[in-house]
Amino acid sequence: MHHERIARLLEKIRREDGRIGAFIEVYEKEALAKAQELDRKAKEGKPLGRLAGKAIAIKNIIAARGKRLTAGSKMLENYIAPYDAAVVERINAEDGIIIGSANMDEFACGSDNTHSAYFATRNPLDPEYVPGGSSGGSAAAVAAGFADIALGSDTGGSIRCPASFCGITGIKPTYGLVSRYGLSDMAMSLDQIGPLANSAKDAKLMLSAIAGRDARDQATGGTPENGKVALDFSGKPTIAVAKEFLEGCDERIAKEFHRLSDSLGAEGYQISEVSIPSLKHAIPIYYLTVFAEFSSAMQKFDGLRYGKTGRELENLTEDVGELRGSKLGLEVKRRILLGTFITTKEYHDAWYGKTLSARAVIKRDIEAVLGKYGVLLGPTMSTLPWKIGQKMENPLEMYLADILTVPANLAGIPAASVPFGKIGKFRPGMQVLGSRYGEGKVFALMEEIERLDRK
Amino acid sequence: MKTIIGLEIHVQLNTKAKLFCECPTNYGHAEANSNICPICAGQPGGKPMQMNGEAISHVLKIASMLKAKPELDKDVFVQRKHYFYPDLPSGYQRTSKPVAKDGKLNGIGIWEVHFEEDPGRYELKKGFVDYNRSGVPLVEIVTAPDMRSPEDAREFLGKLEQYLRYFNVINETEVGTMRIDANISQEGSARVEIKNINSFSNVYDALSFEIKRQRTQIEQGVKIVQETRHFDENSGITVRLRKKETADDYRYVPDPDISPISFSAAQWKAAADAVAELPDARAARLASQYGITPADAGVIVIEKEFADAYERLVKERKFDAQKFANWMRGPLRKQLNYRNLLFRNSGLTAKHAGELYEMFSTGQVTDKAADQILIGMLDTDILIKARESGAYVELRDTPRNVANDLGLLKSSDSGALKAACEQAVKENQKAVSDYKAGNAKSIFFLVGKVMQKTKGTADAREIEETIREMIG
Amino acid sequence: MEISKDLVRKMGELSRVKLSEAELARLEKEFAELFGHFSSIEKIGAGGERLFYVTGVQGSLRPDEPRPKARGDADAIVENFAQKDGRLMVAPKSLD
Repeated sequence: MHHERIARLLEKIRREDGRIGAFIEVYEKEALAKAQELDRKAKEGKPLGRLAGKAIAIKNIIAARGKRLTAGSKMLENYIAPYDAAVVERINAEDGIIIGSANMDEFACGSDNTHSAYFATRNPLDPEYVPGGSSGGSAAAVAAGFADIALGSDTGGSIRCPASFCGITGIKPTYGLVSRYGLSDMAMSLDQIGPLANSAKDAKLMLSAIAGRDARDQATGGTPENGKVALDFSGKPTIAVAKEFLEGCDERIAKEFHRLSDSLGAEGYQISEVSIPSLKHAIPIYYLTVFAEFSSAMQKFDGLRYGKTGRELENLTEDVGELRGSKLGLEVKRRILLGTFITTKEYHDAWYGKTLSARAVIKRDIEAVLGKYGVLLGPTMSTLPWKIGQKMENPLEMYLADILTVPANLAGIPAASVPFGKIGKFRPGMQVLGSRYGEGKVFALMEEIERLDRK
Repeated sequence: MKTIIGLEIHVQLNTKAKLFCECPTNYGHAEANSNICPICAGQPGGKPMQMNGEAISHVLKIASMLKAKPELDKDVFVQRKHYFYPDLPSGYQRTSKPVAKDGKLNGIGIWEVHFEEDPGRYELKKGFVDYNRSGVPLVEIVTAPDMRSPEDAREFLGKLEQYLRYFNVINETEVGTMRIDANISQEGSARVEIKNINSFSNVYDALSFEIKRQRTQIEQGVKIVQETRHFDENSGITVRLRKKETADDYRYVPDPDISPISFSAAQWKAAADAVAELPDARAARLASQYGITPADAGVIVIEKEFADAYERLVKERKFDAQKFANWMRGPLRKQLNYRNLLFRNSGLTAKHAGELYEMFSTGQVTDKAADQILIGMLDTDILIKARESGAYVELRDTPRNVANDLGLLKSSDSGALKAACEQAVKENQKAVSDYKAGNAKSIFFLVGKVMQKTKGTADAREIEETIREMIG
Repeated sequence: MEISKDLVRKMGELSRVKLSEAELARLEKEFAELFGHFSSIEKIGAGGERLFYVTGVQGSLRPDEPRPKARGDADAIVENFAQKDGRLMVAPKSLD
């Protein structure tokens, strides 16, 4: 029965993904073989894992042994991952069926998936529009019905933005809840892997399978072993709404948000308005942090170790410089240069040092609110999806679009996007932020929002 | 002209696994690029594991033996030092902030001690890169510019090496485990850095050459420029490294993937206790406490384990301190040195040494047989193989077993000795008549025959006496 | 802060990224705008504690236990080398 269903999904992908562009690669043979194995196990009465039969797409920045790991870049066009990421090991152990690798913005730099070096992914709700990013392929795969659940990575909103644009659910877990061993780096102090799904229930199922401490990712040092992570909460978490979340927000989205907050109030939820003034600085703090860490992470891509580049390198400065110059997209190069700049001996203190100090403040401010209230609530994105090709190429404008999602990464806290209401073809996402390891409360409110949305 | 020299010394630490991953460290004994994993080979998504505790414990001991002041209860960050080089798979080297500062050894100031990971190996001429070494833990010791001559540097490094070797904190099973950068200048002139000198002895040669070069330049009125040079050991000269116009900027940032670590007073105390008695102090104590010569004591403190074995056996087995010292630094050390072994990694234990010396000193085996026993113990197939792969195997056989197996126990049966002598006399009448005719040396021919027959279990002097009685 | 084309080029050299003249001109303009906007970080936390690590968990030490990987893992890494000679990676022979 798994085999039949997976075969049907693969057929659907073959038929429809040309229009969407969710996948970089589809693992037909392996997916069918795994489905067959599950059917055989079921027939023999053997127990199956908790992801049994789920069709799963993984963002192509996560290593799966023997499969291409492109990170959406020409730099890694021919790189075959020599190992499985921790999350891939977990999915395999829990009998999930990985059906393919999802498209993404190059090295996760972007928020609309038009920065993939291969092709742009389209929004299944309206293919004229972007799906959001950088985990746009993952979101599109779920929204198009190609996959039950997808894994994305979120450094400043890369799960929540596409979840919101594609009208599905996604959660960036607490920094350190899920091992990132096997996740190619974007910005190491912000990166986190998380699920995208059609419901909070499915997202929670996936998270329960992949969460847990791993000796190969030190950030998981404070996390319980897999299987001992609590994701449930019974009761009504108290809610805070930061008024900064609604400043500059698209009015239609703000309207849906107010409708949600009224409904929650009517259900007996206690909702308080708060102010976190340091949120105003979230974009500079976030991007400066990203630049510094990203430029460091990108040092390794010199054309020597990660697959053929189609070019014979004769010297290490000129030729490697040319290779990097030609294989990397403009946004990637922009971030590398900016990061190099702010970490040079001359500018380190003036820029990177101050960034780290400012980050301490914003984290403390957010934690203070979450010390008083159960969750923070707001819209996920301040805009609706834009048309492919329509968006400005001005980096500052592009960066400012992430204003609502980056605070969670700066503070290392969980944040989810869950669809509520309808605006034309789109279903705007509402964002729920919790305290570190406060996923239980986040999921509780997500399920409540889903219930109210069905009403 | 006053010469000013400061050194940065990098030494591989003695661990079985790498600093941030579980790959083995025996890089020179393994096939190229076989001791690698996603972490030490810089694969996308590879993240560092927690640090190897043994490496850190060695670093604390080294800092303690250099009397450096601990960065107590302070977060020690691991930073990323960025530069592009093919042997550096991630494009940055992980290197810690100082673990301790401001120490002294042999009158030379120590600025700081920190740890870092070794890159792989890159053979520029062929372009070959092997990442087996990538991630092996290193300690870096930075001295103050307190040395004034190559001799000062040699003396300092000699002492440092003595300490490091004695406490078993450095890798001695691989080659190229130490590298030194030397900063050298003539007072009032620019400083020149000689990078990557690959042995302590080359430091002396490199410095001697460089001083001559700098002084000649100054005498000729040529200004010394600040630059980085390389020591070519074949020609014995230093050459200028071509420098790109863009100066290096390592862009140090704390590695976001490595939690900072701090060391408690208790950890520091354990390290200080472990190195409380330094080898030179111990040698002096051995000489006075046991009445052995300073030279013997000096050899005995080559390794802490060796010295421990010596003291323990003298106390427990009541060996004659001087005679036992002679044996340890003589016959025992000779067999170890011949195989390029240290006592601590030879597989021999104090118990083995004690048993063997007891057999020898009580006349159960001859000196030659004792050698044979050592050879038999050290050269089993298993051990030879283990040594080839850089592994350590403890010996299972005791000296007595080996002696029995090889039939080396001195025959207590004087009848058998007598019979062997009689036979030798009977079969070699020419030698007997030569002896009788006044050729005293002929007797040794007969002794040799008997030793062959008795496979060395009999004592040569005893044989000689028996034969002399027989034919004299 | 003055952003010049030379400064952008120098950053490119340090990052080993070769840029076209058009890219240099564009980045020069963008960097000036970005840094202008981003200088607002000075307004909070100036001189205060620097946040390096989010989790607040102290590092711990692991035992010195080598675990050789399955041979296939290293082979798969070697397989990806752009140029190789047997198991050795072949890198350019010139540092220029």
